[in-house]
Amino acid sequence: MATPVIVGYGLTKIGEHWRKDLVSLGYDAAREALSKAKNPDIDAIYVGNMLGMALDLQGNLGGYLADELGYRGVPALRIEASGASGAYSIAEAAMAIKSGLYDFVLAGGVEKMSDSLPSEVYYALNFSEDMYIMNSTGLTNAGLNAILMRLYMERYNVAKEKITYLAVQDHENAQYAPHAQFRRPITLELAMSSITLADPINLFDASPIGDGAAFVVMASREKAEDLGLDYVEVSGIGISTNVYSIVERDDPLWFTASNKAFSSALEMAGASKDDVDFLEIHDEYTIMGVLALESLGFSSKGFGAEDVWSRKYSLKGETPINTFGGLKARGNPVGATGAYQVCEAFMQLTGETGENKVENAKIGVVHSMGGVDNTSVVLVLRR
Amino acid sequence: MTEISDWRKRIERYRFQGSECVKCGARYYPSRIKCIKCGSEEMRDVELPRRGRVVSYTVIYNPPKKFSKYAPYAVALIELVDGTRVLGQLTDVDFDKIRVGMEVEATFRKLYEYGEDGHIVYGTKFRPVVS
Repeated sequence: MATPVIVGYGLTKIGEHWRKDLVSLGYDAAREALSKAKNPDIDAIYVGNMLGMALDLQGNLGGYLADELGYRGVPALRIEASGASGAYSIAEAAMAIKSGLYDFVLAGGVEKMSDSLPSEVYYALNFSEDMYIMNSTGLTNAGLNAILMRLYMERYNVAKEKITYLAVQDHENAQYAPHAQFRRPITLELAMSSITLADPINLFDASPIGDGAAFVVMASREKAEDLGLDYVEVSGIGISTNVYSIVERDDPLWFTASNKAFSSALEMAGASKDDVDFLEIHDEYTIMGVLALESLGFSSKGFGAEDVWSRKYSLKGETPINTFGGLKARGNPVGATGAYQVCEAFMQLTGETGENKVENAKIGVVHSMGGVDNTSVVLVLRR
Repeated sequence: MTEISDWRKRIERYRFQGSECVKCGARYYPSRIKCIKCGSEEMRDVELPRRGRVVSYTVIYNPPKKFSKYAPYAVALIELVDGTRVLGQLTDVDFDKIRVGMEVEATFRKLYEYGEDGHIVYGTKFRPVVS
């Protein structure tokens, strides 16, 4: 079987791109990735996107972007798995390369959120959950995470400060990331005192609304070597789903899909948890990041927040996470987010990091979720 | 959601009716087609017990558009006396009086109204049990 590798990446700064629409944003990131990969003949295109049909009223993004890029005739597909769309499209590309069917695939994600009113965006983001439940209760994603956060604080007797501290660390890491949405450090006092979205979750526990696109060019290792392209291997792929509604899970604070996806990805990579040099985790809300760290096995149950608080996961810590600011500070253009994580892991492993460098990084893990662990994608990247 | 999908689920919402697995007894609200505990497809309608306790809750200050005129409102994860867990809005309660472990009971209420014609959706909310 062919070994899938990443040979180029491209990303836009995350923020409010008033002069760009969905496809032109995607174009910019894809073009950059293709140039870095020395413009190979692309066999297929996968575009991760969650909200195009809800906010931009644009479907069939695969074909649209392929045409804009000048790849007429190339198979192209939009992939939607809510917040995991970008990572999922890269996982699909890796599997297509592995199968031997394709030599070069363009994959990533794009999202355009700032054209719509925040209330419309928040409503559309609910689509990652069971909409019958969301509609009949008035719940939001923030509300669902707030219920988990309170449950966590009550069960393990943890102060909220220790969970919210993850946002402070994200902002710290984002200050040197040129593509991040928020490049300024924040204090815990500021994070704790911001407006409440859904008690106990406030603004700084939540990832922001932003526009962005990130793409990678994937190839088989053989082709990459033939063409003399520098590469990072995608050596493990894990994808899993969970019981959709948190109330029906044996333990709502345990992300079984993330856990399973991580084990499968590690097994495929022939690696163990201890080999992981850094992690890019899905902290759409601070509590989600904490629960992900526990569910992936890096923190014991009930100690995720404590470990964040004691800086186990800081850039200089035992296992750095979200080395460019994570979803909170780098930003969370949902369908593109997983693709940003993959680009960042590539940047770490190739040393294109500036101040954010994790020393001697050989193996990086990307963890991406659609909804509250409804669909989870884990990729193991190796230099 | 459309008026038709509201209509389709009306009995479940009005009667607080879920589904019960005939084989293993697991109960679900909203109802399921297939039991996720034992895999059986033999399910029957069941009216759920109306009392339970708050396991966790939130107060929503940043609602989706459809609910903006009702905010702030509280939503709780509730464990019913039979162990079934459900999500539902809390009503007739001061937010600062809500506690984890608080006893609540199901009550028939207006959930929300929407659209040009003011289509009203009724269903089940939960209020504190007054002893």
